[in-house]
Amino acid sequence: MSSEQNDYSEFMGKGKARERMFETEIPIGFFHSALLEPYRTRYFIEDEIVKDCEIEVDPAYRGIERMLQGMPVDKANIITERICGICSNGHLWSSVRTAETGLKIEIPRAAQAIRVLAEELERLHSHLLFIAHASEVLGHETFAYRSFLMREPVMQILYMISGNRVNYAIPVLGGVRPRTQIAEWKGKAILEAMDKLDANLRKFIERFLSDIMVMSRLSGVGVCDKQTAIKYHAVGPTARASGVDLDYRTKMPEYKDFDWDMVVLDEGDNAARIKTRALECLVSTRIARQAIEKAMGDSEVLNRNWQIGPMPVQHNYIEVPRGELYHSYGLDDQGKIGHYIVRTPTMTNLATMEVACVGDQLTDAVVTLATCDPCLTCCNRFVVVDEKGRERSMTVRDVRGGGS
Amino acid sequence: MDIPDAETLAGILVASFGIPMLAMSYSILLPGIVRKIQARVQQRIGPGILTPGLFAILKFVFKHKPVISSPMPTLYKWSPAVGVAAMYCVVIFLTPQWAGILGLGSMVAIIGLLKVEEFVYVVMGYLSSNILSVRLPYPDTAKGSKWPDARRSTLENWGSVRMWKMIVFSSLPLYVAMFIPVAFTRSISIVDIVNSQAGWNCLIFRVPGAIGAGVYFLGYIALLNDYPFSIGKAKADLVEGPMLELASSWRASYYLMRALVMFAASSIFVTLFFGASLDPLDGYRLIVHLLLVLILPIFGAILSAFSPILTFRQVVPLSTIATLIGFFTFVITVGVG
Repeated sequence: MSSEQNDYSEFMGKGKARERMFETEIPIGFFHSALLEPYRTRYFIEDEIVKDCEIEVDPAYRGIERMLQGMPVDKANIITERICGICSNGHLWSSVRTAETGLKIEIPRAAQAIRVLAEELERLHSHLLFIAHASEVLGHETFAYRSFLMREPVMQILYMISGNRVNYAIPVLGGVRPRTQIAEWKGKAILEAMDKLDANLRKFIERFLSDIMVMSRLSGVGVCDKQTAIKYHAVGPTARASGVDLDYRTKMPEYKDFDWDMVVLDEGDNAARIKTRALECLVSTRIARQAIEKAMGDSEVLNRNWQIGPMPVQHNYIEVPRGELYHSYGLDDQGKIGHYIVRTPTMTNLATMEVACVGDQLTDAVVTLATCDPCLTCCNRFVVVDEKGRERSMTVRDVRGGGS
Repeated sequence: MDIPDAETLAGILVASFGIPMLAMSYSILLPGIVRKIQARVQQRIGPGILTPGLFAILKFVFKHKPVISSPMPTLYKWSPAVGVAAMYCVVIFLTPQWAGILGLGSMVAIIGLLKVEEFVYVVMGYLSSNILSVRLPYPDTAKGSKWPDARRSTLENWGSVRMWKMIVFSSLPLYVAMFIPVAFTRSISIVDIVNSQAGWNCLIFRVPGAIGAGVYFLGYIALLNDYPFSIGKAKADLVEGPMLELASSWRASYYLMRALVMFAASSIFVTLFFGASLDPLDGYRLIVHLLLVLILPIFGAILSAFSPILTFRQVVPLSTIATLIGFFTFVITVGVG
């Protein structure tokens, strides 16, 4: 843009906004160094203090649900893994689990344990990636690098189990891929790696949470109380950091035989959201150890004794690193997908943070948004276009199926 | 004014051209040293010592020059050069050869020039308007927005506002600390301050000097806009703040300015608190001076590696406390003599 082409009139403001409820607007995104994925935040500020905030997430639309329409279920399952690069196992597991529930497919015990193991390892690396990103947004590069160093052994374990560091392709209809079964030698190696990881994690978490300067940035900032979290349907660690005891793992039969505790904190601020995830890392290592013990040496990981057939629309929820993940679809008599819907935790979590960041300093508000660990490629599921090709916002009527 | 003899004139010429050249050559090592230390703290290898200071500048010099989005692009582009010139003057005014010339070798001149450097950021912020801040036809005007026509600031504008605040609050400890040697010597002349510490009778080894050095250190980090005082160009929101639009050779000049600020502020510290002057005609003192110049960048690198960005919520009380400590030390030094 040349200097002659500049139009500065937009910086003056007009209409209702000129009445100066706030001093000015600072737009951040779609492309910005603090954003891992494209979303746009408009901060309306008065001397550094955020008075209002608007978030727009549309540019990450990829149309995956539309793509899955009419696709054979086994092919559709594996495509859902591509919805997200971080919680790829969560999407695949949820997608597979939906059909398994509808078609009443039994899953071998070892396969259930391996699925749980993969999910907990995914939670571990996702939370550590989150802590690294939050540290980066805080401006603490050292913690960011250290968190990435912590994450590396988790990625290696996932590689050891599945042969991949991302998109592990572990669950399939009826169990898990046979290559992912946990042989004795593999189980022992993973447990050894987990011992080191656990010790390092404890040291790192203790150091992070006791850093005075970091905590001065996080404590009492971006506060979201329990009522607000419930009102905006916050889920996962974002809700649990605000005192909401909501963890879908407590309702999942796969986790029934595991000994673990839900992490719930009351503060509801940025520090609590980071602390919740940090403590959940330790819970995940605990569950992962039990899962290895359950799966080790058991070669029966896949049930092939089932048949595809028509299935009414099923609703399936699981707990992924960011919260509740919802997958829903039905099958026709040829086993082809119909009416696929995915609802990811970021949808409600980001909306909750939009409210929580009001009253923060601008730099803190960016951290507040980051503390819900937003994942936009998961989140943005649809765009409504009318007959004239114009995009428009969804209404309650659209959601209930009455929209045009 | 008497006409100086040939030897004095030669000394002034060496101080005016030789010392700045030496300072520039030496200062381009400093960013590399800082980055290397930070990298080692972060358990990575980090860049080569010459990469951030020298090769980065060379790389930017030879890059294609884009059109800069600014209402006054020429002034914007040349602003870092003003900072370089100010630091050039700071370096030569620290030499004993400039002590007697129009009173320029004094605290007043040096503080004034440091203020020029701080003000450069403010000017740059108001003169830049990067494309990152423009209004989008969609979704900024989408149905449902409560404030579709809000008055908008660019990221650089807001960086500029923050730089103003930093001038008011956070660099104050630096200037207060600079007056502790003045109180100790009861002179604003650099030469007098250096002479009062002759024979390694350094101020830093006394209680007021040690306190002053600590206060100066905080001000030094703030002057450099380095972590934890980098709110003016916080990557979390403002990306690069006032420097966002600087590209190619203009960014190279900014890197040079920053390296020179690092050198000049450290050099002031060594001169005031160690009494080691930047004398081009005294090789031993010059070498000692250059070695001591490394102290602040090294400590600064360690502090930065372990710090997040502090917002004004933390910066204001921190700098106020540091300023008050510096001020009381100054008052006690004046009182005790």
